[in-house]
Amino acid sequence: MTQNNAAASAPVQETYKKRGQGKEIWRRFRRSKSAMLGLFILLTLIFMAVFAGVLTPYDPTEPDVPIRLMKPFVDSAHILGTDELGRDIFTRLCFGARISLAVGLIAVSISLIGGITLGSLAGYYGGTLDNVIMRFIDILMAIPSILLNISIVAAMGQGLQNVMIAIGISSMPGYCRIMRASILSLKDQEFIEASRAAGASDFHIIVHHIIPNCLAPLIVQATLRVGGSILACASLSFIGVGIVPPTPEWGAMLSTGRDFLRDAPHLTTIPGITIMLAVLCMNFIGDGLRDALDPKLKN
Amino acid sequence: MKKYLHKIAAVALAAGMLLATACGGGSEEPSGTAGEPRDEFKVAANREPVSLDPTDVTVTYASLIEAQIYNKLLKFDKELNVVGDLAESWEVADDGVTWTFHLRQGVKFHNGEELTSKDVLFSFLRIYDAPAVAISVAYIDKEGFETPDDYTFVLKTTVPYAFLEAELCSGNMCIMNEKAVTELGADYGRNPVGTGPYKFVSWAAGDNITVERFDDYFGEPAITKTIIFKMIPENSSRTVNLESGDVDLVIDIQESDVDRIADGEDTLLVTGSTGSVRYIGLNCRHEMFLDKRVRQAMCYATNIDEIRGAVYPHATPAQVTPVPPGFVGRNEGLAGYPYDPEKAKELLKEAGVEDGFTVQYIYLAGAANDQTAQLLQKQWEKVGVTLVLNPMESGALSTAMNKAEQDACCAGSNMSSFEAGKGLYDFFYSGSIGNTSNRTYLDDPEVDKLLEAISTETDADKRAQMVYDVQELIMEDAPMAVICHTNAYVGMRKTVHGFEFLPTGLYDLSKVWFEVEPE
Amino acid sequence: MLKYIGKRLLMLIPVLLGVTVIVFTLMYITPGDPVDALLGDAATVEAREMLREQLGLNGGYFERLFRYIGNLLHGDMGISYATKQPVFTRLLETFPNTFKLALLGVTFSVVFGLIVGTISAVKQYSIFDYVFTFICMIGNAMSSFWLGLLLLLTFCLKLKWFPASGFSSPRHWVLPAFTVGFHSAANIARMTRSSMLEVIRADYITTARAKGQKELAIVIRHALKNALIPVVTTIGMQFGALIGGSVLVESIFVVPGVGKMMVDSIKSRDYPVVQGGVLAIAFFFCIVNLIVDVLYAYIDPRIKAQYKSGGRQQ
Repeated sequence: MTQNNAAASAPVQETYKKRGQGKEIWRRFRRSKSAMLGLFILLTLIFMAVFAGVLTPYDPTEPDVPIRLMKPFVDSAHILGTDELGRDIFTRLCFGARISLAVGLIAVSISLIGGITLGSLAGYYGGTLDNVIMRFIDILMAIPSILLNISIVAAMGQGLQNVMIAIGISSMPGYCRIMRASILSLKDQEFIEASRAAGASDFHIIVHHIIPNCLAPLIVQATLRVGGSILACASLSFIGVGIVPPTPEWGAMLSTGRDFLRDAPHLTTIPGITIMLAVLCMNFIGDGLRDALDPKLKN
Repeated sequence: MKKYLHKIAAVALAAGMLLATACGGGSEEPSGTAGEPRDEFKVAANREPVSLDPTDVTVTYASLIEAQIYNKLLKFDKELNVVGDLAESWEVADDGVTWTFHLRQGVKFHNGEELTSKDVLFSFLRIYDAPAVAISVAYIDKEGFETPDDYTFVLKTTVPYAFLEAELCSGNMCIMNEKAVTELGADYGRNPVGTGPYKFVSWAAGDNITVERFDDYFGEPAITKTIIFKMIPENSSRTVNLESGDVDLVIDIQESDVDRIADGEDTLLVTGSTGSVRYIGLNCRHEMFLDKRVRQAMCYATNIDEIRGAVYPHATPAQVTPVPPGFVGRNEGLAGYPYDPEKAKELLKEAGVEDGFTVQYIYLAGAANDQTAQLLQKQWEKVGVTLVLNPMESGALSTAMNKAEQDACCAGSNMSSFEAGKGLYDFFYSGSIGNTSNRTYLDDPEVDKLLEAISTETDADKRAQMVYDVQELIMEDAPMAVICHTNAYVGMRKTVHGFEFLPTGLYDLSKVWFEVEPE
Repeated sequence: MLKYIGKRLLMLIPVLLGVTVIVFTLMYITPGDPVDALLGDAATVEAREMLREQLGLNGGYFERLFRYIGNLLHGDMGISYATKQPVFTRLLETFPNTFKLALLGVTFSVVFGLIVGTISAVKQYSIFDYVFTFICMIGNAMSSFWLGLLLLLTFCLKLKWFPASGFSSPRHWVLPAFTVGFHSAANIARMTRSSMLEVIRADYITTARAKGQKELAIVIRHALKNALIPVVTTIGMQFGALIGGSVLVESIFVVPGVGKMMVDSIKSRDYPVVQGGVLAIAFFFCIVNLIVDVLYAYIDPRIKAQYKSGGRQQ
């Protein structure tokens, strides 16, 4: 929610030179060292997620009580140590990458789809529909997102799927507002009127002309929110309404580890740093994308 | 600096002795090394009481605070003998149902009123209308009370009831002042008035409850003037607060911090049994578990030692029966169900379910229960049973359990009356289903018959024998796999004096004091 | 302007009504019964029935919803199931603490964020830019309960600089406010930086520079003032979000705040407290946003002009 103003203020014109545009963005994106670092970290995490099964010989959910709470960098068989049930932490981290990245991605997709739909309807049609949708968005925004998350998960039951839905719903307002603002600034522009005059349907206009032109700020916002969703998931675990064990999710690992903060700090440090890296890399990429997509900064 | 080190060393030595004796069951005043006493100390626990009205919903912490503010007719001493509290003496008539209590004279409430049998009667009658505690008077005849004079109180039980004395010691049975309750009305829960060594002073919501020495207390006056009860919900936070000296006594140290507090430079740990049981309960009403053999198979398939070792390393091992060690009538000779997956598979095959099935398993979300669940899931997987984990928050869990929605659950309960017979009655009597802690929904007529007999048998020896016998019947039914008996872990600063562990958890803080610590 | 404020205040009514209905509905469909949550194990069926009656839990969805809204209109927020206190009293006990925490947190993040953001923009691509932007982003990327626990261990246990629990004196405020503020400092710094970067290239800055004004004066008087506009919204948002959103920090540092009360109430199904609490938070959030929008108008003359020329498109 906090970034969208800058994002929204990024002008969204001149998307005509279709070919070469991607290249141009990539050229600008590449220039930012932090964005490239972010991309590198993200690719590493994705690599961990994809090859989790190959990278380690262990089962992420199989306990091995006799070797519980093994310190990291002591035994080469368990390079990052073991957790409170003796499971290999590196293994859980790799498999956790699948879950946590999915949480971030799917939660953001839910709010993106919801936000785009509501925002376009409100912005394009205006009037009563706009009023109703925007009041609904106001209501959602007025409830602190963590409380909304908890209530939704409490109502629907614990579990990965419901956590993603809850986080998705509670971060929807941001996208909706960006979308609506973008549409309002585009609606009366000539190319839209031209296509309307040419007899295009509303749906066609929204999907083919408006959404592509609003994409830049939405993509930036979405990238920045992926990290936020992973953090939100960790917070839910802390409160005790997160995902269901033994799913190896980073936030859950961090939250469970806190009871061993003193004797086995690696139980929190390792997932904590991993989450931090994931959020950082998404933020770096998001900032890089914003600069790359913002033609004003082009020198 | 030198002086400081010296003092620490001396205190540490004394406290070491304290720990040693405390673990043995009681504690004695370390002699000769006592420093300057402080006129205030801070206690912490995890959950804020909702009210200090004893007839309201009670959490453990509330009971501890209420134990400082109120008295009951009877109480347990540290060996769990029933002794008089406000009652100086009491007797039961030959009919087995009429109990006469002779009250202490000259007892003052905190508001200056004198205690009479009218207050006792008022307190009892109040319980009938309080849903949270009404169960405590279920066996007392509402019409049968008498107050022949100001210091005599008579009650009648509906049947000869074996557990009356134990019941009267429970935290629900605090004696209140009629005038105070009537005058304060809805505000009473936040302005309690009792006869105890401490009187209530203030309550800062979410932060602390403060009590102060009551000078007209009928017993030995409290040593420390002020006690501040703090609520610190986060486990690791609570431990840090004790170590940093922000609080002096924590009544619920979490399992994973036990060693740290016990070995701490400035802290010590007192531990003891509380009559609590942790178990994995099977829903005997569930289609799959109707067959006793399947339940037995699940017990064989459960590796209790692995769970206890990983999750409750400091707890007392359970030996088959849910009755904790030290309870009269505990049956230690039961063979039980040692971990044996092969045997489990055989039994499942006999029962015709060797292909396995799925079990919905519910529990209160939390670190220890999560770990138990994950271990159990893998253990049962080995005999082909799929465990679906449903962690719930407290609100959803109670409802699910009351409706018996689960196939299996992880639960903990206290035999808080310290009577094995009463505990087993609550756990396994079919009439207790939906009322109390019968979370296995066991409905075995033979067990029922014996439990009924136990509850009306007033002869302690005969009762002990029946309790001994019924455990065999119950364990044959295999309604639960008992994991362990968790202990209470009370952590405190080493400057403590006079703390005495009680299995009830209702520690007498009026005898506790702390030395001034060097900065 | 007054007309605009009046209109916005009027618009509060449907929003607050909506919040009430949504929260009520969520609580209604949530499995778990307040009676069971309160009584736990040891209670008879009759006792449960008696309590259900006492709490007014009998009746259907609409009956209870309308009863609640009706009471609300009479200024009655209900009685907490658990503590039997009026919800309003509960809120009075907890809200000020959370407000204080949020205010301190936001103050910290604004001071820190503005300084870092401004210098980062002025000295773009310098070491300072990299280092402080990075620190801010770390704060933003750390799970707040982890950060809180680490601070607790370091500053309360090892260094003994601050008390480990409570919220009664300024020494108690430091760590929770820092934990809360550190998280949002990055947002404000980032916002300030990018909006400063935009402003700093504007013609009037070049003009000012050409006129020979001191660099610091240019930055503060011309650039920062104009760059502040989008930042103000961010600040408002952060403040709103912190009310009720600082649950985790409240738990760790034992701040008797409204967030923790709400989470406990959701868990114990104390519906009146949940509803009253969310309503109060939502009301507060809307008011803060209104204030931000008004502030906005004062900082940005263009918007002020819009109000005068008759209403702004909302």
